[in-house]
Amino acid sequence: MLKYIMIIGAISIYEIYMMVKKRQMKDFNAFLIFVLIALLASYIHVHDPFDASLSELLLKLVKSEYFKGG
Amino acid sequence: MVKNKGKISVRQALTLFAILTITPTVRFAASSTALIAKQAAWLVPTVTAVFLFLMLYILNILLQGYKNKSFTEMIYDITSKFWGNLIIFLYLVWITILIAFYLRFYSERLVTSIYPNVKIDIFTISMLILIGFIIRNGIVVIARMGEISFILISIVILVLMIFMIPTIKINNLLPISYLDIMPTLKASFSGAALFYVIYLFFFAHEFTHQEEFFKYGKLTLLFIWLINTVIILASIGNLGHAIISRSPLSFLIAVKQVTLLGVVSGFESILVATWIISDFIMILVLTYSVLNIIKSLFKLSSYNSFINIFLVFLFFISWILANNVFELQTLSVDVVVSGNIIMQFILPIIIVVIALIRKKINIKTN
Repeated sequence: MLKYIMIIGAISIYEIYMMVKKRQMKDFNAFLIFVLIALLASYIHVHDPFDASLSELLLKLVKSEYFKGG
Repeated sequence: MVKNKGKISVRQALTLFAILTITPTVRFAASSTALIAKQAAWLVPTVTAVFLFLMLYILNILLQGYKNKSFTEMIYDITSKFWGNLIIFLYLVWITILIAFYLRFYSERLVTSIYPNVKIDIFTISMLILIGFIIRNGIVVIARMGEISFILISIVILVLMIFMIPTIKINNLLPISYLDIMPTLKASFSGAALFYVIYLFFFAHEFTHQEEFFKYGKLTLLFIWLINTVIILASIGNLGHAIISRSPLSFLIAVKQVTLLGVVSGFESILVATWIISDFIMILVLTYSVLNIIKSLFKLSSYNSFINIFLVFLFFISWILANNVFELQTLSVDVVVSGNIIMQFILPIIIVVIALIRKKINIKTN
């Protein structure tokens, strides 16, 4: 998890620096949302809190025959 | 010329659309149609083409009514701000899932077919880094890459087809009777799910010569119909519908059977190389669409700052999406096809109907 936080952090610092340089700070709030989403995705990838993949959740939702086996 | 700087022609956009259909066609067209329509599966693209032609006409009405405007601008103008935001958000989520789906499938395919002992991350990360570099150059570079790739992919598929002709058994393709009408119609849905042209509309404001959309659209449909028919014909004609319907990489298996003069074989590596190019263009174009959606949805001055963070997010979502290739295949049949039908047919038709009712566009102008 730490390596992912470091990667996301490094990208964020670089992009914020570029935003300041190009005077595009009005995009900062939206950028922050994307950073938080990326951190959340990395947490889900590492810790798997739902104990299921997105496919499994979607397939359960549409009542797929995937889980019937055989 | 200055006015059109940084823009691409409708012909180039439709070339990108043609490439977008190749990856899913090679991957699943033969197996999904063979499962339902059996030996008549090679007739499915003809039925699908009729649906796609009607859809092309509907989209042409929309595009001619809103020249030099992106699909997000069209949605905002046709619906209210609330519904517009909701629809655009749905497209954002769906296209992101699609990109993650194709990214994961691309890596899984390489590991399954050529590099069984290589870590899957390597392929995903290398693809994302390459996309991160190229996408900054804008749509003109992507379109030019698309044109070159289109020629390359067409030649490869044509050559493979010529080599496959001697292995096609007519018995595997016949008999055809009236009993095949309903299964063929049913199977045509999966083919229609590959009509990705609406996702290109998110950067329609960067198209020039929009009045030629229908003309080049028909030619693109002809190409897609031909590629689909030929791939299904060669796959089923070679191995029969029973084997093809159970094969995860059906066309690849059919190509593996090809030998030239009984000596030269291994043509599947050429197909895999072509496949990677097609995957790359597909992920690139869909990512470009998503970045345009993000720009419109969040009213950004530029999407450049969001490229890297979005690609990192894509990496994680491609891992969260599925545990293995079997889940991806089931997801493809049970969810992605239906989702694509909703996002590519039902939603755009609703939007066009609302636009016609509210007199935002006019059929006569076409």
